[in-house]
Amino acid sequence: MRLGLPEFVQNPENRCPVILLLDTSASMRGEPMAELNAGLRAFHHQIMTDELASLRIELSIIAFGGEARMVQDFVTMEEEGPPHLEAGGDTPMGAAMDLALRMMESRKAVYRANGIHYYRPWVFLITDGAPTDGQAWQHAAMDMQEADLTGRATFFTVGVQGADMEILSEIASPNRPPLMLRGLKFRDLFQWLSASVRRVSLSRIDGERLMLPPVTGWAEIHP
Amino acid sequence: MSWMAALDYRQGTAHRAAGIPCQDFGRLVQLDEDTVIAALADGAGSARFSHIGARAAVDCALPWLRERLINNRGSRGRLSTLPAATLFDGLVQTVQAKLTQTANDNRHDLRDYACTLALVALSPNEVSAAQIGDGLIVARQVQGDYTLLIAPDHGEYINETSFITDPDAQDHMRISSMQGPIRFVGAATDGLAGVSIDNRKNSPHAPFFAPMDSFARQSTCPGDVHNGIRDFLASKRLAEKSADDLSLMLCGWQGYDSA
Repeated sequence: MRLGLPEFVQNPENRCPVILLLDTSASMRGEPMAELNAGLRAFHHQIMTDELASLRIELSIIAFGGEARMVQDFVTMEEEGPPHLEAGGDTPMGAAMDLALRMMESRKAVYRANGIHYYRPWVFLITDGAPTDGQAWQHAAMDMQEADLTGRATFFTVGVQGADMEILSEIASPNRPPLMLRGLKFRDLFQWLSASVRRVSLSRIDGERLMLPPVTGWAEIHP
Repeated sequence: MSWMAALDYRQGTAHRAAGIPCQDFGRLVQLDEDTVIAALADGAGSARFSHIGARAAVDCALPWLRERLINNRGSRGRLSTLPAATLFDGLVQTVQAKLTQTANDNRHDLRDYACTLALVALSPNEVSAAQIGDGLIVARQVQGDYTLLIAPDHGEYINETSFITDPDAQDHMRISSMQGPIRFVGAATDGLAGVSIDNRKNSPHAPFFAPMDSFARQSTCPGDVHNGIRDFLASKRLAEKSADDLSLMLCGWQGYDSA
């Protein structure tokens, strides 16, 4: 007999893990970074207005600027507000994807050990550049695509002005071509993300056929 | 001696807030003093017209089961001359054919009608059930514990399951039966799974079912059972626990030896 983790005793709700992979390289400095931080706060606020969603959606954040590092481990929204991100360094996108996959699998193991049901994780990558970590991104992208195609995760990619959309197309899952953010509409993006994960976390779905709100308010679909 | 049996369903608070119709549907029919049949369906949140699919699936499956039991009537408290394994032969094809026809008539896609389906038949000495999807069916024999006759069928993810409209629905149909003096049978769609199943043990949560069981068996008529279910599904405390559509069936046997 083992004791469960306190977070699951207090809140035994099903969990919907969301991993944000955020480009915080030097090119994001200034207005893009400010808008990204504002978007994160808006996301947090929108989830908090929905009591059940706030208990179910667990957000973890990996920033990649100079190095890929976890800036927030999986927590529900009621536990913690979003961290404030700073820009700097290059774009180790491959390392960030590797880290995301490892964190995702270990979180699933924690859920299982605690008897917590969960939803298919969402991995959401946002970048304004191209990977700088050699060929590492190609292996990581293949692993991520495989995770998406085999249903271990749902992988989204979003390019911000300046992003190499050709490379992002190679990174994205064949299921979901990359989206191009209009201007710096991070807040609209995060509003869409919160509406989408709420929808997923509150109803039963046909895993092969996600019905999400239109992205027209903030994105262009890259051909 | 007879069954005190009823079923009801209710739109979830999240569905109401989002303007999504109730995608649960169910019906229960008492064929005679001894025999009750019921069907519950839960439409997929991702399917456009799953509320129509759920209703159509139930309205097709229940008369089908009735015919099947009448044509293969059992004796001495048994439901049917057919064993449970063959009682439900043809269910998937029949319901899929009906849903396909409805979809064609309305120029919809069959997958627009995606829903789960649970079918239950019970007599004082036997309960048989079939299910495609993530509902749950619980039974108790005289002086026995609550048993998950059919557990929710979901894969790794709690919100992904099989639907009667899936091409491989037949492969995902679970069939189960229990023989002996049956005293209680309960069934629910996945909206109640969180409060009625002990996830760690994957078994029915007795504190959930025991009061329902004694309530049903002590009711004076099925209408009282129905009112009890309706009030329960509408209760604020339940809404705090589940925002999903909710369906619940309760059947308690009132006999001389009730226990």
